[in-house]
Amino acid sequence: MWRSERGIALVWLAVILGVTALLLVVGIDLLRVWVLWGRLQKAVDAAALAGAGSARVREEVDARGTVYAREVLLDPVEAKQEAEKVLNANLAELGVVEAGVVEVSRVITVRDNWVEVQLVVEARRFMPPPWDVITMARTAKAEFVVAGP
Amino acid sequence: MRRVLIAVLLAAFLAALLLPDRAVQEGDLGYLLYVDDHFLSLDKTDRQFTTAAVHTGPPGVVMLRCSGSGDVVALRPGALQLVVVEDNRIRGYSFSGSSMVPDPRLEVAFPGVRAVAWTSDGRFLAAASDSRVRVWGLDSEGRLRQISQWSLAGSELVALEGGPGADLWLVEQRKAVRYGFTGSGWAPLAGDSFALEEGKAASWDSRRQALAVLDGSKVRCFALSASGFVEVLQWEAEVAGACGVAVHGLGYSVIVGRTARSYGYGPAGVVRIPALDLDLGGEGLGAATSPWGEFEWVAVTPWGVRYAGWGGSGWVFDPARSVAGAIGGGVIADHAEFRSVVFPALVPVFKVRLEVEAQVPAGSEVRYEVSTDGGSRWVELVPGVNTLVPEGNAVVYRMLLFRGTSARGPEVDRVVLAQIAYRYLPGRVGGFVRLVK
Repeated sequence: MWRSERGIALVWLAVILGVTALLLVVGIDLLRVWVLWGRLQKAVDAAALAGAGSARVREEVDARGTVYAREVLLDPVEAKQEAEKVLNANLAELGVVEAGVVEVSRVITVRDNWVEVQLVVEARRFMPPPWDVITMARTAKAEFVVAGP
Repeated sequence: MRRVLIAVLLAAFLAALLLPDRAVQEGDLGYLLYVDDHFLSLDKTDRQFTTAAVHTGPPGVVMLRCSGSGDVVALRPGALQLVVVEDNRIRGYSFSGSSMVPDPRLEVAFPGVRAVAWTSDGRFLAAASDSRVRVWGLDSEGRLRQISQWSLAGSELVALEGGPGADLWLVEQRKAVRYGFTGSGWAPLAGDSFALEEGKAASWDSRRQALAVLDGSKVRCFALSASGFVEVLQWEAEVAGACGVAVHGLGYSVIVGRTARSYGYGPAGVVRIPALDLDLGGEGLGAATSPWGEFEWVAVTPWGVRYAGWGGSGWVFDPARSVAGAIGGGVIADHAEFRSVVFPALVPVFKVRLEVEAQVPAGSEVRYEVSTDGGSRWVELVPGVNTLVPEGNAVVYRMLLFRGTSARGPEVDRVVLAQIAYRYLPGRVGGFVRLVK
């Protein structure tokens, strides 16, 4: 039994501060995950665009400069290298690695006139186990479109 | 100094070696082969292999050869009307004021018809096959009405021509016989028959009352005298390889190959006048005398009957009195080949494209082929389709023309053969990238 209700405000204050701190931590964590999510998406988008952008166009022309046909030439090795290069650069520049993100896998697929980049990472959260790690999978697909002759 | 000179020469040599390839890469495409054969003005024919007829004059076509046309056109004296033998029929044309238009009144079927002639008085039209001669008069509406016919035994008909008045000359391979008009029919005149070595064509000259006959390699003339027709050796000319003769005020024109050679009557005999030769643009098939003007005549060509007149300094064709498409009863070849000359290429050829302008009647066909090894191996081309060919440094193309079931066969006006090269563009120039959602 409480003999007096003096100091109850302090208790309430502590509780409120605790809950607020908890909410703040959760909010910051979610915000961090959201930002990370967006940065990863931008990174894979850029990688896919860079890979597809490495394509060249082969024209069939005659002596008068008449263009009869245009064809996309997408070198799988070159496209993959270009996508890798841009992906690595963006991951580094966006501070993804420093944010404690561990890359789980990346798959870069090149076909005909398109490049697809799939990235799976694990990021630490400010949460107790088993919520202390979140797995994020991001995918982007870019295609090269030939302008008409 | 010597080293510098050697270096400069070496650099020039390397540049010359690399230039063609670089040119294609950098967009200077002038090194690519581009053949534009417009047969109206150009002739890039390999005569050794070509069996098709190539007409570089109007209308400028490559087509199947036509031969053995015979005496297939006749102009009516006193009226601007002419008749042409075609497809077992006689077709008539009348002058409309601006051109010769078909005249159904002068049309009649006559199976096997090979020659046609108007009498000099313009009253009768005669036509002959190898076995029969038929003669028509004209009714009040100008329609043909048959008035006489007779059979020919074992005739090798060459020409049917007018004669004095309403008489006719029937020219066979071995003889020329005059048929006199009796008032109700025609009968051979025994006194006016001449032996021929190899009669080929004939033309009646109503002004001089003379018949010019192409006999073997000679033009022989038979003129009317007080005692009948006699041969005039003074008007004779030696002409090898001729297929037709037309008489006019100057003398006569003889069709030899694609040229109408001009001959004039001189005091010492017939003289050749090369300056007045007329290029027919293709191989001529025959000729006919015109009763419409003293210095006028007609050439029969594979693309029609072409009317020639005196243009002041030479012969010129008059389209208004010509009849396009009327080729007479000639025999058109079943197939033929046109082969071009070899076109060298500066950069190796591996792909070509063909565009053509041609008239291909239903039932006929033209096949186009190209070779990059001088004619050993041929690749068929479809017009408008870029086609891979074995790599080579020269191109020759050929056209195989087939008449099939068509009467005239195909005609090709123009061929454009373009070497196709690859040009590589960076992606940012030749297209764009986008995300696929």
